[in-house]
Amino acid sequence: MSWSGFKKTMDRTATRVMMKAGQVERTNDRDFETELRRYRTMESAANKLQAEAKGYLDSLRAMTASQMRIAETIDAFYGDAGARDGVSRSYKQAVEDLDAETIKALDGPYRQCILDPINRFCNYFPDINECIKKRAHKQTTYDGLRSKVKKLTEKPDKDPAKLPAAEREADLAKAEYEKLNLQLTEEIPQIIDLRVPYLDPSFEALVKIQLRFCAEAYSRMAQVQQYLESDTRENYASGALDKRVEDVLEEIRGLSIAGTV
Amino acid sequence: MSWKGFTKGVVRAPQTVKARFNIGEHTKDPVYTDAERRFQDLERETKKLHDESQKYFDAINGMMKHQIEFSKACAEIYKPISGRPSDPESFLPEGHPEGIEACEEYERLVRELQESLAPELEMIESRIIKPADELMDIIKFIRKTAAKRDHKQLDYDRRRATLKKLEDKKEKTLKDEKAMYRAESEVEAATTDFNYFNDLLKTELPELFRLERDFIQPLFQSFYYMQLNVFYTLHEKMQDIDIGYFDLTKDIEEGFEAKGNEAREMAEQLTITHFKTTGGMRKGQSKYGNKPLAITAGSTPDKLAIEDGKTRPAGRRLTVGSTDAPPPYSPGQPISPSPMSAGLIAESGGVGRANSTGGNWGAAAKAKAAPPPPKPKPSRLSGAPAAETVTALYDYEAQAEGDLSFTTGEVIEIITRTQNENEWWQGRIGTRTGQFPGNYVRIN
Repeated sequence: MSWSGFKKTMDRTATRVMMKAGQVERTNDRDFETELRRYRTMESAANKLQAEAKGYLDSLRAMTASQMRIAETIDAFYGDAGARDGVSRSYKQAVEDLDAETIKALDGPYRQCILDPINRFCNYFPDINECIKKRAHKQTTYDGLRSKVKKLTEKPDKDPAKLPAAEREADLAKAEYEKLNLQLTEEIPQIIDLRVPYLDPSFEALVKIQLRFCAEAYSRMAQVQQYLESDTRENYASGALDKRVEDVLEEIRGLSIAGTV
Repeated sequence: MSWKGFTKGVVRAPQTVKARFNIGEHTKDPVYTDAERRFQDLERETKKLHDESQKYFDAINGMMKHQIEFSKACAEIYKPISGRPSDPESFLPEGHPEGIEACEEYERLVRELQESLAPELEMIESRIIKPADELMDIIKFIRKTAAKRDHKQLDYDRRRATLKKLEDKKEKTLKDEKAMYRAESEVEAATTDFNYFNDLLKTELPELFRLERDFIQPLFQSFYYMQLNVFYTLHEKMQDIDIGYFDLTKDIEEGFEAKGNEAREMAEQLTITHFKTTGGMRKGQSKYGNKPLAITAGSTPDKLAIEDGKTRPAGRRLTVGSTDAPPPYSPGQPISPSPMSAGLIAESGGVGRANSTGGNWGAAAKAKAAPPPPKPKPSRLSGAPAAETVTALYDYEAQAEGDLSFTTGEVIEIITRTQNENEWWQGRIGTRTGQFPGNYVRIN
């Protein structure tokens, strides 16, 4: 921190202490306070939106990633038996395509229409917050100087030049404060008004991306079906597959190495 | 570890070291070594299968959770925001009720989806993850058996080494003879033990591999169908999405662009959004930003979006390439005892559904929204005498609706202007009127 910055901080701290003690009056701007509260509400809502948008993409990726690994595992299990029916291969292919084409193809639009706009919108917040902070500083400075003027008026100093000087200083501080205050009270409602037109398109885009993902995922997966024997579906539906799994498990358990020794 | 196990470990220690550094003689059984290697693979793959199916299960759940939360957050954004929430009067109708409705509808849809997927996901849990779990337990036990065999091998090698040493002694004392006798019987016992476990593993491991394949095949097939069902349900439900709010005829990016860049531009123009970089000042503008800051415009795209939502054509079903009848339990089957099949049967009645062709994403771009009307800008009150003209010093290109573009040297007739050239003035060139920055021109 620079020396002048440090000095300012000290001055402001002193003013704040005096304020607590009731020695200095605090400027109250109701309009600004209201807008600030509205802004905070919007800020938290937008930040949540940002987190969820990212979370959705992450879990989508996680899903296809584990699908791929499952496919690899199954392919490895099948080993030489895999060549027999080609199911594991085609499954692996379908899953890989899903990852490589569908997800990658959706990645761009997702970024462009959802992540980027939301991030950009959320990135305004640090700037706005900085502005709000600055306004608070200017306010404190102004309040301090004003009370100084008040004191000098009530109890004139020996040096008659002091009062005009203090007044000038207070006026300067007031102008600075009011400039920021005006800017914020004018523009915060605007950014709040903009939130719907700004973020609304992303919602629609999200729904569409989901739609497309579901459609493509299903059609890709459905293609694997042709490699399976025709009765597999029936077996699945009737629970025969589950029974086979159970039976084999039972057989494995029956092995002497598996603990029946 | 039990005391017995511990003493055994201590006794075997020297032989373990020898085996590690390959000192002395060691039994090598290539058949077993290979089986062991395969067993290791199997162990690893089973674990992977188990972990990944668990992850898959979690990811699908997470996906839907995020969908719901996203729509909630959206609704939060659409809601009117009041600075004094305790005061109902303070709620201005500035929110986005249509959007909220769409959010709620969407959320309901996703919840429905979640419910209808729950049995499928539960099946993954009970039919895939659980058997894999059980298999893992068995494999752990087999691993123990294999470890036991290794121990027995160590014992066997150790006893043999002892015996050999004794045999190699040139002159044997009575004590040595006794020791040799004992060693011989020990070798015999160790050999039996070792051979028992070695042979057991050698015969049964291949058996295990075969069974594993038998195991994995139905498991994989089940898993595939479960997955297919999950995607099918997802697809079916999502396709039924009928929220008039969304214009599903447009492509993703296109729809996104159509909904308006204005808001983005307007937000960019706000000073406070770039406070850090510009310190609150904007180029070519006075500190107090006299450029009409889109206050009125804020509501314009809003309205547009609403109109957009209402004039939606209805045909927007997605085509799913080459899919034939839906895959899950088909209605013709008398045997379908699983509880989850009932709902699907009802659904799969619409077999022809998949064939119904609808507008593809990009196909129906025809319903493009009309360009937004120019937004009104507040007229300046502080006037200057009319019919005054100025000459452009620089090129100016319109940044927003209602701006006046011109090139250097063009003469602009002033409609209104202020004394401050850092503000925005109104002017006319021929038939075009609009605002332009006063510092771009020179007064004639």
